[in-house]
Amino acid sequence: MTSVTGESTTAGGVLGQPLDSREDPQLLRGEAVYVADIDLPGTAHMAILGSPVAHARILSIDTSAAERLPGVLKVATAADFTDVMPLPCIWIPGGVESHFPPHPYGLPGARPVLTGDTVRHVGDPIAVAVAETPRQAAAALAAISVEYEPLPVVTRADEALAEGAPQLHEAVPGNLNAYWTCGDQERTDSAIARAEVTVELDLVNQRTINSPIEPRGAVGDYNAATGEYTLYASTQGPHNHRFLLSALVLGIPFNKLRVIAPTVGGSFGTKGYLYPDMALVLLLSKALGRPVKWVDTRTGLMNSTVQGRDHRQHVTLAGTRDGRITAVRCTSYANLGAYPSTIGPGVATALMGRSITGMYEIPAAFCEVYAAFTNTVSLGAQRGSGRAEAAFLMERLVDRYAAEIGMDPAEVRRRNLVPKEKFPYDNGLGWTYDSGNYAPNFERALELAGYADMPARKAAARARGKRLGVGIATYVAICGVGPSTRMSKEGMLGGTWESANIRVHPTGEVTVTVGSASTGQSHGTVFAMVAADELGIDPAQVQVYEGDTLKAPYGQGTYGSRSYSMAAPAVALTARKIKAKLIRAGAVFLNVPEDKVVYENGGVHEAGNPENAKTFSELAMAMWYGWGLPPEIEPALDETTHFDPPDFNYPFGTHVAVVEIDELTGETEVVDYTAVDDAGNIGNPKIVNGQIEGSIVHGLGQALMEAAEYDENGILLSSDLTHYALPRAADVPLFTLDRTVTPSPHNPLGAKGAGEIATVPPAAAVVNAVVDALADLGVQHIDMPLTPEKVWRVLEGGAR
Amino acid sequence: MILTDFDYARAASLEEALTLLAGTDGARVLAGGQSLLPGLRTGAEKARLLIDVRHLAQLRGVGQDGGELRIGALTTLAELAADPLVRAGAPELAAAARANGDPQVRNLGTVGGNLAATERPTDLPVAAIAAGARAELAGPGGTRTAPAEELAASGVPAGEVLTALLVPAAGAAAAFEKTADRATRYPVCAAAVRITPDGPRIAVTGATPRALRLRGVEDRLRGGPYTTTAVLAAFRAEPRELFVPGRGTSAEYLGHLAGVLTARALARAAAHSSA
Repeated sequence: MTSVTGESTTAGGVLGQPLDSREDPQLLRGEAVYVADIDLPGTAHMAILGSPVAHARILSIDTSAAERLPGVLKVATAADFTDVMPLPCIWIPGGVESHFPPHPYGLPGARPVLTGDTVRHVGDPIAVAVAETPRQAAAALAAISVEYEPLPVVTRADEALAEGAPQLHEAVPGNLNAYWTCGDQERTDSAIARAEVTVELDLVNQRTINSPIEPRGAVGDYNAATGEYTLYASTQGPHNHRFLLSALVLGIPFNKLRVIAPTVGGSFGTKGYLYPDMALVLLLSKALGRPVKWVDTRTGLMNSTVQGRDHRQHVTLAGTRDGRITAVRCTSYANLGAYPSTIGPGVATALMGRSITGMYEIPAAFCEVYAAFTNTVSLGAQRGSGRAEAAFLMERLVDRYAAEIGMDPAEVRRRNLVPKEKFPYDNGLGWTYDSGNYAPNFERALELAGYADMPARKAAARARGKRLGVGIATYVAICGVGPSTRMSKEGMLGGTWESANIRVHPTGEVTVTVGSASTGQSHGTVFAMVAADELGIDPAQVQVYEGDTLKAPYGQGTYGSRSYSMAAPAVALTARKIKAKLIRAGAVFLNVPEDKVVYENGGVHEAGNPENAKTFSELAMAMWYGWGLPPEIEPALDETTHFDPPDFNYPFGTHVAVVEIDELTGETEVVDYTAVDDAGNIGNPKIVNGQIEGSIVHGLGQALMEAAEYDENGILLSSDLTHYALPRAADVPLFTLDRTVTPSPHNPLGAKGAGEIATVPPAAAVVNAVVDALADLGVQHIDMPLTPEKVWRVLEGGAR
Repeated sequence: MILTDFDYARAASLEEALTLLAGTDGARVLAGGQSLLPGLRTGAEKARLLIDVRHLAQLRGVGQDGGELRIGALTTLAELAADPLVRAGAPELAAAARANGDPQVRNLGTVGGNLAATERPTDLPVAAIAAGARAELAGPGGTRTAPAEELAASGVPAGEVLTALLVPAAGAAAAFEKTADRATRYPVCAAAVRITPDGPRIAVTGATPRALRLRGVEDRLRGGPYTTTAVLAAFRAEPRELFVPGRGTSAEYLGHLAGVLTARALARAAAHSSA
């Protein structure tokens, strides 16, 4: 739960102002409380034994030595949890009907809380030890002996689907989780067959590891007197975790489980997923009669928390000689890892596949995805998930096409942008873009980046021993998940609406509670601004609570950049209900007809007679007393809204990267980066700019250095931060940021997603820039990450 | 990772540190702790006893005696990078210190720890070798000195403590170049050069199994000129097996990179010396 009260600002018209984040001081001073800081009296500590091998049959597990060690309270294996159901997967690309209860609520191959017969990836949880101290628990793990019979290993999706590949799940022959398509295959293939020009690329969108500062953690606390469970967890969606854990895993009544998200130190998509540890701390707390706590390590995170991207694709673009794109086609092999994660299969299919046309009007498009199981950590979302992979393939293809027809890549893009008058625009793949005005956004980015000056800059760089390249990437990023009925057709098992409650206290202070749960996006600051703006009061009067299922209204959490276009509209609509009630009640208190009541700055007064007035505080107290209210007006000010939008929203933007490559070493430096993003109306530009900057750095990381590398035995080579490179401040230039504003018609704020959208284009922009810098060497593509050696090999003449 | 158990002793003097070191199996000297402590967490390092010497003031600071700089082993990398005597007399060493890690690491990490580290290539050994520096080592039998190259080859011998680095102060004709690992900021490859009246002294690390002086390259370049073409040719003439692959990088690329960095260091050193 987060409780924050900010400093005073001018009342009224607060939305859109760059207020400081209320959350920052407590985060910067180290005062915020994370899961690791929660120490309930009598807490015992849990450690998890993860498999050291990627694929093996478990022949035996001997825990007797571990159980005898000092301080050890319990050692448990799969045999202790035979009545616990496996972890559900709630985004099933094929559709929901065949999978809705009864259990198994999810896909074949679902992950058990502990694996008993076979381990399927390094880190696969086999056993847990609970002890008086974390150190004793760790020592107990070391004393557990497991006998393995090695099985062959497969770590690539395309190889997992091949004849004779190692098989992960008996229930999933051939390792194929889903074959999924969107678009019109026949029309697309035919357009490609008769095209003037076609270009093709084989792309590897490499696996990346989500690296929030705070690894995950969980504390389970069972109260034997009441039969109630409380879970403190590092989660993006406490209500979702409550739903999934109570009914679908533990089999306990919904109202016996409370989930609390304390401060969450980043997530990037990982903490909306259900993990075994969340169930285990609750089960073991009940078994031991004590709170049970588990906090992950960095290496643990890298071998257990969902990872991102990981597609191998063959992509084709068809067009005319004069730069009109006529078709795009993608065949993708998506690596789901060893088990279906909570929503992983949907991320790998729909979020990617339906997004591939981006900003362009393309008459024929088709995408097919083979989603396969392999002996790797489960796949999930990573900031920009699906949409980043889509933008990467499209923007690489556009540059490849521009080179093929000898046209400036900016001009090719310009000729294919969806025109303003075509909105709402059906992209032919299942998305209907809500609103857009692409051309001004595109031209603004080129202008800010100084695109016209690039030939002169390239020449100047060559004189310094550097090759300069420029790369453009545009994108459309579906956000605002979402319309619940639409999501059910997408295969999502669960509502995706959002909610808010507002209580106006008798003294005029306001508490907003929302179902979402921040992982660092300053919800407390922005939701207070939304309520204050609607009510015409000072945001300092407004307090925001979230993250505790007992206190907050139902909601689905924060993911997919949804909070400002899903939760904030719920806040706004609720504030409007409060305001409407104040106008009705104001008529009573002012003793005038309702149409004579003027609502201004939180108070009411009689039209034409400002002396006959009540302030916000006076109204709040009057509503608390309830004296003199007619029967049709209930006392008190306490309203709730559940917001389910008519459709998604579609932010977009244009990014331009300028790189310099050292001709002797192949090192790539991003020297300029321009981003012009359109997230509709935004609530707080300071917070959005922070998210845009962080997102760009995230995307640059994938382009330049990040890669989860598994060896042929399925060992993750990059399993700590000395082996997994993350970008630092010194690795990126100062960004040039601007925005255009095209409001969404699908929510009352005109908002679109913002938190992750700028992660979508940077990888494409940088690879485009590097290929541009090396164009005269005949190179068509270089796989990420763009390590100096890969670039050097091109410089040395090894171009493909 | 959870640290394994070990004992801790705060040595009152260098003599006490040596006594503890001699009397305890698995005793390790704790200076800045920037390699040892993470190593203990990951299990890459082992220790039964940590002998803390961080407070021994006589082992910290820079002095100059005639043509020689004496750099105490507990001098931090930040102090080394900023020291006016070092910047004037051994610029390759100051640059190597500045290239190390990040500000937090440089504020805690020490000259001795950086020179004694064996788990990964570090920045100072190449600079010390190129500078012709000697390491001062204290042991049960007293104090001795050893060439920096020998220290890089075999580390600090058991039972001894590295107390200082003794560096010929020779003006500005020296330079250091580095390509840092994206994740760790340890060198993927680093080169240090010092141009002496007898010709260039050249050392590289990262591309080689340890920090090495490249006498063959020096011989080929003696008399100059130090053009990039000449330097790369001099490196290509080295035996192929001199260079070893790194994580995700081939020996071929690292050998080339060592040549490029050396050429750049030589160009800068030569420019400084003629200035």
